[in-house]
Amino acid sequence: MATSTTSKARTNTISTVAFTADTSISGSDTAATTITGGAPYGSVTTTLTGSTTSYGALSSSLNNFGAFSASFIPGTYTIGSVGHVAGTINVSVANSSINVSNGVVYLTNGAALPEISDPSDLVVASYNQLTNSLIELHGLEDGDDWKINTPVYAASIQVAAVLMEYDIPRPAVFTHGPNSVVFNWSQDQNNLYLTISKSRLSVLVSSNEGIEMRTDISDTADTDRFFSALRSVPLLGPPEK
Amino acid sequence: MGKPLQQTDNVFRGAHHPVVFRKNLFQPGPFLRLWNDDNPRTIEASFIWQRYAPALSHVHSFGCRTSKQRNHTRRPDKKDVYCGAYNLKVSDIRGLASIEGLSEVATADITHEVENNEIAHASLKIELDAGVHEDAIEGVKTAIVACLWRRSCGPLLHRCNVDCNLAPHPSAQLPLGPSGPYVEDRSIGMRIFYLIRFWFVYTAWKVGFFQFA
Repeated sequence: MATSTTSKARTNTISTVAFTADTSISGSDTAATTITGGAPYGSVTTTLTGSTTSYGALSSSLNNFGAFSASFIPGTYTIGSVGHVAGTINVSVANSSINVSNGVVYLTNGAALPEISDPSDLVVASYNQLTNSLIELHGLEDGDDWKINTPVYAASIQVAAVLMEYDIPRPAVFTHGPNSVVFNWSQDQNNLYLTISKSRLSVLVSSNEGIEMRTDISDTADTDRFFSALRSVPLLGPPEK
Repeated sequence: MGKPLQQTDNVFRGAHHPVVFRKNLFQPGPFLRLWNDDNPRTIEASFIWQRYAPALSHVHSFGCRTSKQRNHTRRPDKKDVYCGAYNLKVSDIRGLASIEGLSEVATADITHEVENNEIAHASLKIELDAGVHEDAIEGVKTAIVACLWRRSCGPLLHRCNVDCNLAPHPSAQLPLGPSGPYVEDRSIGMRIFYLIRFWFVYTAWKVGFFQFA
């Protein structure tokens, strides 16, 4: 099984209209790896180094080895090397299916999860499960009660990436149907709901007394403030088992 | 338009596996699944009206029949299993229109509308303000779900005969409702009255003596 050691250097911005991310993916593994899905309609600017054996058309500019910029649309692409996130983590890539979203590379093959040596990596591992759940919801058959459509999937997976960036505990997930995903944290009688639709994030805090707070996130400044506040909110309980 | 329910009436909402669970964790959103298929600002859901399901056995029979009907068109690995029901007061549903922080709800009402030959079926209909942006509707639905779930009592657990052999039965995963367990608030005399009225109306309806509006 081939292994590559990679590092991350990225910043995230997020808005209700378009989700963008910068990332650096590097590696020298030449085993073929499939990248499935990704961040539909998002824009990913990536620097790829190492020996690449073959790659599909993320965009025409990908053929220029080295730095490239690509509009990442759903599909299956093959490249020869792959990276992962959050410091330096050994990632086994042979025959693994991985997902790239918001500049984050997720393994979807359970047998190839990274070893966790740093406590902060626990959040990464936890969010791998969340990401897998979202992939699963997106991949359900049409008409399934939990099926979510592609724009919602794209938005939710990138919100998940930002939550992970802020070390927010993994939320529980539910849907109202195909047009939204709701992330939910609860502790005692308090609940925080983050409703993600294709173009809007809605926040609701409720308690036994009723609705405590509702707001929509409308721009990047709001987003930063929200996620910073979320990090310090005491009602965030442990993630679902 | 069906007959409006009385403010003090009880209604029940069935919980079915697998739709209300995600990785064995109950989720209120799918439980109170709110539909807005035709008009995005008209949100609907189905309930069971106690007037025509006067005993818990009637409520559970409704749930088991719903499950059986769903399973006619489902694959075995997607089998629907009725697990029980939660209770709400009609006043809690109508109160959605006056809840602080939920100004998008213009009206909320629940009416008796026989559906799929179920005499106890009641339809929740929530109209949102015309000014609510379509992008905001999903967030409003979350707020409605949170408000209704907060007022829910139960669960009233049940195993349909066809699911008795399931081990473990998913009903064990239903959590206590945020408003506590369901408490029967009708006197014995009132319960008997409910039963007599139900059988009288049900029989007359079945033999075609009258139809509901």
